[in-house]
Parts: sequence; structure tokens; C-alpha cells
Amino acid sequence: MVGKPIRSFLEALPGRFSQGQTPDPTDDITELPPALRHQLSEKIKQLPIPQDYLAAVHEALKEALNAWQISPDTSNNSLVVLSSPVEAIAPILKASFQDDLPDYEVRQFLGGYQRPPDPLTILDHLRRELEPEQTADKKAEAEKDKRPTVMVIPSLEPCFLRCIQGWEGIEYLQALASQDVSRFWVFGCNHWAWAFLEKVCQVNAYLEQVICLPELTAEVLQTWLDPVLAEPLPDSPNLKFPEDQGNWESLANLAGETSTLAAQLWLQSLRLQSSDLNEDGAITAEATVELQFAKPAFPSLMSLEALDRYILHALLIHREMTRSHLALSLGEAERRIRSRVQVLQREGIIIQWGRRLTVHPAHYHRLCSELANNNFLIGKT
Amino acid sequence: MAMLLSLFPLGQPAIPSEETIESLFKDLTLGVAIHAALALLITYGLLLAIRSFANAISEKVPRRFRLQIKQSVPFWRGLLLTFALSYLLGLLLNLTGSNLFALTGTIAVALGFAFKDYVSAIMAGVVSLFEGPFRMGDRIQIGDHYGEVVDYGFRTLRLRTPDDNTVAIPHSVIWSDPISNANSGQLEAQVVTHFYFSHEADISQAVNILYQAAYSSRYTQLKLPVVVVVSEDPWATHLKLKSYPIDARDEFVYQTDLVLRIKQACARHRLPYPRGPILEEE
Repeated sequence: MVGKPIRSFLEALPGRFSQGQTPDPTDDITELPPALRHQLSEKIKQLPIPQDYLAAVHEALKEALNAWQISPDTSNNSLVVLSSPVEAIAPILKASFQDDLPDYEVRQFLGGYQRPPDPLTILDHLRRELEPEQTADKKAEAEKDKRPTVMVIPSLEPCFLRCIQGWEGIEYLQALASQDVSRFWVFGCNHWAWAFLEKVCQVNAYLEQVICLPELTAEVLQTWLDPVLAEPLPDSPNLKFPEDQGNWESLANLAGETSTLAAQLWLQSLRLQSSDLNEDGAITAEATVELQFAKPAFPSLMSLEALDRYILHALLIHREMTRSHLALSLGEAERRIRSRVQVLQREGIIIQWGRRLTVHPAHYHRLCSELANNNFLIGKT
Repeated sequence: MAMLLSLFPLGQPAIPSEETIESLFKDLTLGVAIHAALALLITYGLLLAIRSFANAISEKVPRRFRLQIKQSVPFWRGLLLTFALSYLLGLLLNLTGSNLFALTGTIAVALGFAFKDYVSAIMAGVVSLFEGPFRMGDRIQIGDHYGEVVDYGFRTLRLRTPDDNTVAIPHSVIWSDPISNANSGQLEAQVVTHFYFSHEADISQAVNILYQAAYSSRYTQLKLPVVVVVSEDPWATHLKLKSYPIDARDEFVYQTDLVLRIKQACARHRLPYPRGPILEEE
């Protein structure tokens, strides 16, 4: 009872008083050069979804569909799959439905859907998408195909924005799912968004069956990440690990909850011999470079201002958002948040994909502690 | 009455004799004087250090720990004062049983006449420490003064008002004045935002807007309930939005955020505001 606040306090201290681990200049191992790290980062993005995730979704889906088929009139006709806010749930659900469910007609919606500039139009978009006009041909086709339908909404985050009338889309979806028991609904969402939606529109009362993605073990992580170094990179020497690697357990303990977090920590823990680098910091070795897997550790977090915390909390709830949506959600003028977003981007806490901002996975764990200790509502950690 | 008379017989002065007073004090040498002065200086320095250190640390740590650190300040200061007082009494006085009895009589008489209000304030400070009507960091209202308790001194407490003024209030006000405490040791304090709409307005829509404004504000503590209360006035429908900010310190900026959000939404939905009775008369 007393231990928890003390532990949180102690967890909060290192981020506050330490300003990053500066590498010992006398060490003969060093971090990867930025160019190589970027190449590896690109390869990580191309990795398939970890099998454990797919297996967990398949199993839960199978059970839920069987239960629904036994008593289709009950309102238990939905399944929500929750992930961390730094893990994209949509590709995981998409990959989960690649193996056919022959007994069901699977219909995926909102693939690649982005929050529109005016969030008040989300409801119309959803209506247009989910209630298409029933033409005679379509009706005939639907009557011919007697299989039960599985409706997949791969990500709920683009369907709402934290502003007045911003979650009408979610209320529409929950009403649709609970009223139309003839179809089974699968939703993807992140823990933080789910915790928010539970508070504002009691979404858990309508969508009862909720599963979380499983934690990844050391073996699973190793099997998943090994292919990154298996094939040679263009214009780079061969990279290989020594046989004995004991840090996978540490990686799984620290970051097993999220594959993207684990991948980022792994990448940041890779080291090579200083002698393999020339004066410009580029790799000199012609043949094979032996990498070392240092003990993984979360990067330190800068001292955050009050507005930073609100920005990061909003980004974690929405997973990704444009600057204008961020400003609208925070109730601030865009020019007032721009400078802090810039600072957070420079510190690597926020990353930008096109016009969308998101939180860097490597900082997720420390941000959870920081926001929880500052009395914010956070999702499962 | 008979018992009182036996304890304090009439005709006997409460002030002890000259010999008793002489035997009470130790010889005041230069060494003792220096020791006493040093003890006073160190105590004063430590009192200041405790206050400054606690203030500095409490503003650096995450919010969750801020109030815990602030609330510990009176305890540490009280402990330090007790040690310092015991040390000084031992240094200057011969503390035997009879001497102590004489000393308390002397002090009672002296203080009773000279420092009545001062002692009353100190006693009230000690009593309120145990009764706990407020603690450091709480947002309280005493009389016309509202603000955060930023210092808990020997004789006074200090409030920082929303206008950034510091008001010193003697502890003795707790004997007579009511104290309204907004957060009672918690980070959150309820904020009530008043809105008035014309009787023609769609009140269910207005209620919905108020709820959504609270849930959408970045300052709102989502772990605590949001409530809207509707009542009828002769000239308007009165809506009260009751919600909690994440940090009670943000109450005014929170209220501003709520009002801005609600006004924007009301403009979008063309919800009519009332024409006040004064305007109608005009």
C-alpha cells in the first residue's frame, strides 16, 4: 500500500535528475552510426506482425464467434482488441484477417481512414461508410450469401477527437454494434483511448468483450528481430551477433508489452567496436562487423513543462494527430502549442509522419510514469 | 468551586517569591549566552531551510507528491522547535519539579497579561494541526480571503490568493471563523461553472454540451464524476457544471477553458442566452 507511491516516486526521480547516459569516452564499444541505425530502423518497419499477436487475436476471435453463433440473439456480438498507444493496431487486425474465415463474410472498413480536418464530419463519414445505399444488386447478393458477417473496424482512434461532439462517431458505432446483433463486430483501439472512451461514453457497457495483446517473451522477440540482421544491408558490411546473448530476457522484461517499444530499445542497445568506425563515424570494416547487444535501458526524459504533459497525453489518447487537431483538442491556438511541439520533436519524444504527430515508442514507459504521477488518467501499462 | 479554592487559595499571589525565581535560573555565563544565541540562530536558519527546501522540492516533483511534501512541513518545524526549546530550557533553567511548577505559574501570569493574543494564536496553530481543518497546499476560504495555504507559521498561516497576493491570517481565527476547504489534502477541488440560458433554449442540448465541455477539457480529472444541475430562475434556466480539474491550482484557467468551449458550442447550435431582468427593465 505504501510501497506503490514510493516506487512511483523513485521511478520519477531518475528522469528528473539524470540528463541522459553519456557514453564513457574510454569505452571501446560505441553506439551505431546514425546512417546504419536508420537502415536498421527501416528494416524493422518491414518486419511481419509477431506471431503471438496474431495467434492471440485468432484464438479470442474464434471463441467469441463460437459463443455468438450459439446464441446470436444476445448482444455479445463484438470483440475489442486493445494495444499500447505506440503500437498500430490496424495492421495487426488486418493481418489477423488475412487467413480466411470461410464460414464468415469478413468486411473490413475504414482501412487507412484519417481523422478529417473538421472532426464534426466524422459521424457523417461513418454513416456513409457503414450504411451504404442498398441497391437491388447488392440486396440480391446479400440474400445469396447466407454466411454471417464480421464487420472489422481496425482502429477506433481516427473516429474521435477530444472536443465537444468529437466522440459522436464512437457513440454511433457502439449503438450500431449493440443494435445490429445479426453481425459480429471487431474493433481495434489503444488502452489510453479506451480508458478515455470508458469515461466519456461508457463504451465498455456496449462492447463487453475486450482482449489485450499478449506480452512478448524473450524467445518470441529474438525470433522476431533476428531477420533484421540476417540479410546484408545495401552498402554496409555484414552484421552479426555473437552467439551468447543474455539480454533478451531484460528486453522482454522491460518492453515485452509492446513490439514497437521492444524493437526501438533493441535498436538503441546495439553497439559495435569503436575500432570499426573511422574518424567520420562511418563503418570502416570491409568484412563482417560483430555487433554487441548491450543491456537495454529506457532513454531519459527531459524535464517536462505543464503544456508538454497535456500535449503528450492528447497524443497518447489519439495515438496520432495533426497539429491542428492537437490544438483543437487542447483548446489552444495552434501558434501557442507550436513551440512546445518543436521542442518535444527536437528531444525525440514526438515524431512526425507526414503531417501527423505521434509519441516515440522508446519514451512510452517513462511517459506513463510521468503522466500517472501527475494525476492524469492513463491506460493500462 | 471548593476544589478551585483549594488549588488557588484566595489571598495568595500567583507570582512566585524572589528566591524561587533565583533558584529557577542557572548562572548566565558568557559561554551559556553564546550557546543560547547559537542555538537560536541555528534553529532560525533550519526553520527557513525547511521551508525553502520543501517549497523548492515540492514544486519540482510530480504533482502526486507535491502535497505530501508540503503537508510534512509543519511537522518538521514543530519537531525542530520542540528540540530547540528543550535545549534552551535545559541550558538556562534548573528544571526540578518545584521549579517547573513555579515557572509555569510565572509564564501563565506574564503571558496572560502581555501576550494574550499571541499565545492564543500559537495555541490555535497547535490545535488546528491536530484537528486538521486544513493543511499546507489546501485551498481554503477564511472570511473574505480565498487562496492556497503556502506557509504554516508559528502565529499565522499565509494564503496565496488567485491575484498572487499573500495574506497572513492569525491562527486564532479558527476559534471563531468558519473555514471552507476546497480540496482537503487532495489534488483536486470541485469547480462549479454557472451558465444561464433563455427559457426557449433546448436545455437537454445545453446539458449535453456542458457534459461534453467538461469531458473534453484537457484540465478535467476524468477519474472523478462530472455533474450538471439545472434549476429555474424567473428570467433564465440556470445550469451548474460541477467538475474537477487534475490540479486544484488550475481552477481558474480550467473555468476559462470550460467557458470558451461552451460558448463556442452554444454559438454553433444557436442556443439563446437570457435577456437579464436589468436589460428588460431598460
